[in-house]
Amino acid sequence: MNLAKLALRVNGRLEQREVDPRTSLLDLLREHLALTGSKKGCDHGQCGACTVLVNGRRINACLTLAVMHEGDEIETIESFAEGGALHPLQAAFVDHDGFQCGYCTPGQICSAMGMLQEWRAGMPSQVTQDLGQTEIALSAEEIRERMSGNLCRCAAYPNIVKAIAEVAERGA
Amino acid sequence: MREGADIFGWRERNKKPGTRREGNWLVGIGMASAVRGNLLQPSSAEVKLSQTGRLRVRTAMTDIGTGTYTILSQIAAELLGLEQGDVDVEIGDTDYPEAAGSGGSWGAASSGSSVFYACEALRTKLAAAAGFEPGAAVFENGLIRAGNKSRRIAELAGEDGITAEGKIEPGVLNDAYTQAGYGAHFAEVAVDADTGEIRVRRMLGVFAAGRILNPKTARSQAIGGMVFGIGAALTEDAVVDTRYGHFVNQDFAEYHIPVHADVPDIEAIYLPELDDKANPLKAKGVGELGISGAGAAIANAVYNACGVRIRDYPLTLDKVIAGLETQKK
Repeated sequence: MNLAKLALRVNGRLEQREVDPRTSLLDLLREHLALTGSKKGCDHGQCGACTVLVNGRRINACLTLAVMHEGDEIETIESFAEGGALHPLQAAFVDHDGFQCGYCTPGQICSAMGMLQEWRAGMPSQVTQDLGQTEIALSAEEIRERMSGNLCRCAAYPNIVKAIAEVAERGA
Repeated sequence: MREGADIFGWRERNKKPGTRREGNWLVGIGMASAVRGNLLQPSSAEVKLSQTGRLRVRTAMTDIGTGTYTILSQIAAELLGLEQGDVDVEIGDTDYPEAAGSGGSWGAASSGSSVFYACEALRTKLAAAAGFEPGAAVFENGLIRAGNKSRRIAELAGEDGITAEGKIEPGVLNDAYTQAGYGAHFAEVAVDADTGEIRVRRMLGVFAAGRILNPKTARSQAIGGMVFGIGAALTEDAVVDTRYGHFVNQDFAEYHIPVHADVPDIEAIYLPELDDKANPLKAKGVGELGISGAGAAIANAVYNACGVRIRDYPLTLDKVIAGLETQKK
């Protein structure tokens, strides 16, 4: 087996590995770097539990090969809390009880982070009425539409939406 | 039911189906009652107070996200007059005293009661160690108090700590009374007059399930159940290949569970109730009560919206369109 050399930054740290070129980014994180916060739900790109940020954009880590990310900047849920302090999104999820079993939560939070950046950049969604407007109001409907790639079988959806809305409002 | 009807605005419902229209959307509301039998399973627990003042609770119970850690620490802390942070709950290991595990909405009642009894036994031991009459002893702020005398319970624990066990088993009350949690579901839906698409606009559940041990997590469980109801009513359909007996749609791309966009604002309310026939906590199961009847309320709302009565789940577009076509004839 020819292994592929790979160098990328994960949570601010340079990581160099030799991996089977078929290794998904998710498996690189979980199996090679022991960052098990990103979850493997379906491994099909259907559930969103593996969502991480690549160069600031959210992506299903199960649907992309590690070797495609040479030189990229990866952020996983492990990078969110600083010291002992929870990230505002994490704190809001706790306050609003935005989970039960917690399996989808790292993906929900990484996805929310990417989603808020997309929204601030003025990206419209399927439910945005006026595509000409420069500032889109982040209604509950907008949040629901933009977060629909992240499934939650415990169905904490209403609480998750409230948590995200609160963080968006505070501008965190 | 009456409480929910008032909050939800049931009086504004048009009794004649298909008479409320907003653009292409036919709007209706529906309700259904919720009944979920209350179960109790044999369960046991051990509590140990150490010299440092920490209380360890051990039981072979599970926490599948339903909040076992939280409620067991609440129960133990309250009974022994400690802060919740002073309690270490250790579960999920079959080396610990045998418990029911999660299932059948019996977790809180069963494992909670075993911890309750274990703490009662510990209180009796501590009272004896302090030389107090057990019935007169009050536990608060880390102290055991009787009259004007008090001792720190951590001191009474000694070097080896002090241990007590508790156990619950279903008894005569299980046979003497029908036990259940009750509730009512309300749903508002919009049905597209041409495509048959159904959107749930809002839902309300009002429940009575005995003492609610933790309002926040109990509400979350009820909401979770109600969202299961949305999935059951509208999208979830496990198709079996009858030739080979396997499921045809075995992933999230083909077996559709509700996503964010399918779930509106949902409110769940618990009415105050104490059920002294259920268990020493007077609490009943909440998990599955939230789903019982939730789908039926949606199906009834669809009927109220467009006059199409569908009796097999899920209420997919083809069934709605077929019903709308029949109406036109």
